[in-house]
Amino acid sequence: MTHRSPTMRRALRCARDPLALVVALLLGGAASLAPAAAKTLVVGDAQELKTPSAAAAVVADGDTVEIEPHEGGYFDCAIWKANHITIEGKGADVVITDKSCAGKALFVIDGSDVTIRNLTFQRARVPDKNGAGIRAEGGNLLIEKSKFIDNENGILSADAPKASITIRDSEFTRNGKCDPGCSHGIYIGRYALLDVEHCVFRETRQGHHIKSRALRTVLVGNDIADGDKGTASYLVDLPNGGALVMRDNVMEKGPNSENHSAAVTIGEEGVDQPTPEITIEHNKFTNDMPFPTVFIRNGTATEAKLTGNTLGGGGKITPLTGDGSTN
Amino acid sequence: LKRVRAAAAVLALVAAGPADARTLLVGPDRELKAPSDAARVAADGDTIAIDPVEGGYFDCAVWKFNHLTIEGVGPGVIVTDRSCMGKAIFVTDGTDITIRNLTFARARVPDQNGAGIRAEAANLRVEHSRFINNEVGILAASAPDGSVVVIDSEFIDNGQCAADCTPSLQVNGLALLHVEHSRFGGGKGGDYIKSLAARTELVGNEIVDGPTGLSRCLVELPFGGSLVMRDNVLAKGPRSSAEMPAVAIVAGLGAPPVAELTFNGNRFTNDGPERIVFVRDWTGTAPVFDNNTIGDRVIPLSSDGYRWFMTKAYLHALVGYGDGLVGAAKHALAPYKGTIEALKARLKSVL
Repeated sequence: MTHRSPTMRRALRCARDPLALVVALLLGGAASLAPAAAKTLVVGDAQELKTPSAAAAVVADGDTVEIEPHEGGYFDCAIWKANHITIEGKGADVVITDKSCAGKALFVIDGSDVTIRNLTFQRARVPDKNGAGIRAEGGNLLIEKSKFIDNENGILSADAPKASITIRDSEFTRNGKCDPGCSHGIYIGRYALLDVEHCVFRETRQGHHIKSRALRTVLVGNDIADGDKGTASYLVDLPNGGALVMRDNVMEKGPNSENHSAAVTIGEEGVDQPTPEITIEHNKFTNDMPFPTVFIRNGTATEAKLTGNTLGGGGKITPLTGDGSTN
Repeated sequence: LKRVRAAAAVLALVAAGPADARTLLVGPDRELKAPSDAARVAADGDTIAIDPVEGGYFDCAVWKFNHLTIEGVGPGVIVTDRSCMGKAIFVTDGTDITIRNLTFARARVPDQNGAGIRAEAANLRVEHSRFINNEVGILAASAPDGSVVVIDSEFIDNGQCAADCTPSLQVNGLALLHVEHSRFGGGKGGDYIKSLAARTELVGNEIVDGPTGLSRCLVELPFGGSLVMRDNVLAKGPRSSAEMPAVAIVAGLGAPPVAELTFNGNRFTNDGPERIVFVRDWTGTAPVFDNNTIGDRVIPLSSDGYRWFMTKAYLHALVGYGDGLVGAAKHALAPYKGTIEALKARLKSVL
């Protein structure tokens, strides 16, 4: 299965243009010619395809699905089985809301190399109490400029040990629930990589803002804060170890957090995979709880390297417990 | 002696019912994928043979059966990172367990005493095994008739001192701790060997801090017991505590008797700049100290401070001041059943 860059996909979309076809050939080689019939499906009130699920029923590998805004949002859910597809909102306010497929999520992604862009997922509820905005069950997944609001899980994944999940420029607000098992802002299973960049997390409820069992978790330039109303447990939880790189994040534990003990924990449920590095650089963490807390609680034998972090707020902060050093 | 051991081994097998004893194979290509899978199905007398796996087993196991042999097939069989019951990578709850050819690495637990092996039943034997970067290499619970025997093994980069220090190897109230031809180094804060056994035998070991080692004592017997050290090579490193002796034996109030203290054929070097004590004997028992090679900046044998230590202990016991000391005093006085005569006699014997 080949992975195609956005540039590549654009080139393929314009494949009727001979020059673009040449570019496509140069970029991807002959193997990329297979989905030459890749098409753009448009979803909207005035289109033949009225809902995302209507598009999901006919989409093929390599297609792009463009979704127009719909008054009040789409009360719809969809299971995406094709690979190499892009599903994107046209404009800023395309909302999918309330309905879950397969008892799982608003969007269930079964394909590999799927890109989601410019969409809002909200109000997912299921009987298992882990209803997600997106449930990732395929391979590589890229999410950009999307919003996850008031779901039981913002994003929940299965296991895909060779795949990556990348989330950029997105917002997670009021996701999470513990009843009795916990759901989270982002909850990623056994992936090779979880990469979250420039995202905003607010008012996560009871669960963690980010929980990752990935082999490697990279968090860069995010704003992860409970705020006054958030009741989250940890800001970041790597229950089974794995590499962690956190750089340039702004983080806050708020007065209503339901777990005072730590902001970031590694190895809480038992370390069962390699932890080649724990690098915590240039983050800002504020403790707004009237309780002491620990910034990084390292339960692995890997030395956490804390460099240039700024710690503040009313509550006392122990920068690190477990192995490692603070500079 | 070998014949005696072989006979004992045969007896042990018979006792275990060898008719049913099996060999369980563990490995990526076996039905049992991890040591913990074998621990679930093992029975008394079984042998568990563990194949190597790339990167090691991220696994932990609680062994509840007796007369088990758990061994790596070839070198490089590693069990790493994961602890069971908040205690250890391997928790041995059965008696007469032998562990061979295994490496235990990176145990960490919230109590900060995560062990490579936590022995909770009598008679653990460890051969050709390695303990690397654990909070404790081996930690053995009390078993008054039991023994821990360690042979041809390595303890590197174990121990910690975050709150309370933990050593590389610690046994509580056993009949015997025997460590032979093993290597200790790179300690991270506690002692290398801390023993509360009635008898501790250390033979032909190398216990050397090296440049990174940060040990408290190399060997510590904090509560009496006999100690026999023969043909060991010991060195305290530049980062190690100069206030603490290389070997410390303390028999305070209520400690079991120290029947024997023998130091024979050991070589001790001080790699630090400050003068330190090799053996600090706070027991009142006269040691046998022969043929030891002692380097520069070393006081071979010292009992300095013993009288003051015992005086303080008796004052605490008699006066019982300080909340924390009341319990300690009661514990210390228990063997004398509180009789003034016994106390006086003991006091006289040590002062």
